[in-house]
Amino acid sequence: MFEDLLAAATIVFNWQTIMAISIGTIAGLMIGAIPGLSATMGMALLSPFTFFVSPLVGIPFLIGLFKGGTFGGSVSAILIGTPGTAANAATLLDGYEMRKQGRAGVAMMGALNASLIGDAFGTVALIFGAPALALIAIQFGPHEFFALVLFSLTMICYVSGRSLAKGVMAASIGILFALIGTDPIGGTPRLTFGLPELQGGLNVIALVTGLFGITEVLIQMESFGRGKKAMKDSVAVHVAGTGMQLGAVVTHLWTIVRSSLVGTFIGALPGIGSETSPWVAYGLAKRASKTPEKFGKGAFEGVVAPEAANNAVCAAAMIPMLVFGIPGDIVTAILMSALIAQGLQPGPFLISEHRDVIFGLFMSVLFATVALYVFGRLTMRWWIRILTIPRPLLYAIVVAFCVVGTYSVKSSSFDLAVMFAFGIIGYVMRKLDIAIAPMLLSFVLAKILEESLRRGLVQSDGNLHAFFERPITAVILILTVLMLVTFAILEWRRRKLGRTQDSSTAAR
Amino acid sequence: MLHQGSGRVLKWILEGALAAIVFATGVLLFLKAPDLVRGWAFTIPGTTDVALEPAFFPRMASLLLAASALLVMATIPLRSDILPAVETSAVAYVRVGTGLGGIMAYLIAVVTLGFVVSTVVFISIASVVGGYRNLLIIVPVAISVAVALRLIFRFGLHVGLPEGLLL
Repeated sequence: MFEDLLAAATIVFNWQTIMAISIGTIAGLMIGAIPGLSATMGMALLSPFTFFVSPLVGIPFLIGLFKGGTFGGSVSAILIGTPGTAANAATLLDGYEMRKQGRAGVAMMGALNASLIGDAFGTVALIFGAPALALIAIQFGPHEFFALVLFSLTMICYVSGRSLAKGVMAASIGILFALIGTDPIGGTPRLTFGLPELQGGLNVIALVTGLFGITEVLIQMESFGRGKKAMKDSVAVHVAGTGMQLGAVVTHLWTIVRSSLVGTFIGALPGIGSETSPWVAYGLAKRASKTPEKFGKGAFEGVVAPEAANNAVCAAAMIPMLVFGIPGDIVTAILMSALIAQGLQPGPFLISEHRDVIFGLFMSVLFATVALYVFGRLTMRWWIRILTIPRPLLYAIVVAFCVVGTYSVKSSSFDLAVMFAFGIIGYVMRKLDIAIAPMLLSFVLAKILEESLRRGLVQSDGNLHAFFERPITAVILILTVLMLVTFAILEWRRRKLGRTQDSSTAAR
Repeated sequence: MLHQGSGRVLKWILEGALAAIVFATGVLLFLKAPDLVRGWAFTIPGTTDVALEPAFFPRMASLLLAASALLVMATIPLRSDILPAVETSAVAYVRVGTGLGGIMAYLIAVVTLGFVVSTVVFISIASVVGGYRNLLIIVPVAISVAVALRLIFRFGLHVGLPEGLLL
């Protein structure tokens, strides 16, 4: 393995890859720092750019973008009290309070240091975990894949937002959209309504760009023209205290390490991703703290815990995607389509068949961690200026990026129409409080689910029992049932607690 | 700002209507799914004849869709939160409608007139309509973005963008 890494280092450390990672990281920091623009949206908009360059230039660019975007979101959370991405929502609680107390620089440096450590944990897990897991994954057949995808689909419960029922509905819609196109076994056109453009299925980039790019532009348009405040964010902030903050990091090292472990573990589970881990890490940090009463009032631990966790997810989320071909979240789903566009099919054989490229990617992830720290540190004071870009101009440019990103994949005007339609669908979903993530995840997973089930049936001569007779499949299916039961109990408890709180508020 | 009571009624109506539409779509697709599949393209003995029919998954997904819509309908009273759709003002919807019209016109212009010209015009008009009126910044930025994207795609990535009647 170390020989592979060393060999990969010689391939990766050339000016193109280093430039790609650096530009990706800086672009990610910028995109993440602007409220409304997220790492997900940035990747959706910019991933088509990578389809036409070498995999060890394009994919490292996206990795840098992902890492930069994840940290960049904490900047606006701390400076203006608006998280750049959903993953940074937990950082806002104490980060913004610290800014109000004149400790914005301390919070930002703490977040950066924690991000570095979290990132390192996730990267180590990826480098050592993915090849080891691939040895097990090679034993997987369609039956095991079917069980694993089913397990991942149940995880959608966790990204369903406030309503599980709406999450299930969104997931069902996603499955139906995934079935448009050609049947994977017999090659039969399905649900194409006679349109030849639909025979290849819906273009995932058009779908993601519409759901995240166009939808966000429409949401932002609601507040356009409301005087100067809507034009740009108020950032009359003096960022002081941007020293290394090493003393504070050492003091809270265990909090950061624990949060990094939480992020790594949650990130490696398919379906959960970066939005859950910061809250879990925040909750654990508060519970373990000697001064829990300071949380929410500007506690340093309240900033470092979620930041370490959400950055640890970045690399760890790539494990199920690379090894099983099952994306853990939307960002890894985009990363997966970028890999496929490069002719690299994620799955158990990816590492053995493309060892040089994959170890090159591992080295890029490592380098992106360093790049994040260097560029995050050097450019910290710029972010305040970025937040002053006029919103109408910015979002008009975003629309132009949506158009080039979508069009360039297949040079198809039809894809532009698909992007526009999904922009409207995404807007309606957000207005009706329906989470978009279940729809997109099920869209990606449904294709693998159907193919593995049908191939499994072909292999077992149409016998469904084969799915329960194989040990790995049986274990995963049992885990799936356990997950569903656990989630049902948690949901029931949450509702019960909510009702108790409602009735006590009413009594008062 | 809407009264909480009327907000809740509107929420019931909106969620109910959505669930009803989704339910009807699910049922319709379930019934019509076999017609929307062109049939086996070819049959490989011992392979496709033991796999499920191509219409099986669309039918299952339609059934799941209809069932989830019923679930949404049944759980409406359990959700006490007010929908963002209800909290959004009519003026905001007008802005979004205008924006949608603008984006649609831009997409048509990109294909018919070409990427560069339509992008410059779109960015300029959208910024002004959005409330930012500093043309000394808007126009150079719009031209730079459009030309830079065109050059990057044409010469850097070797991918053509729509040229249309103009450029």
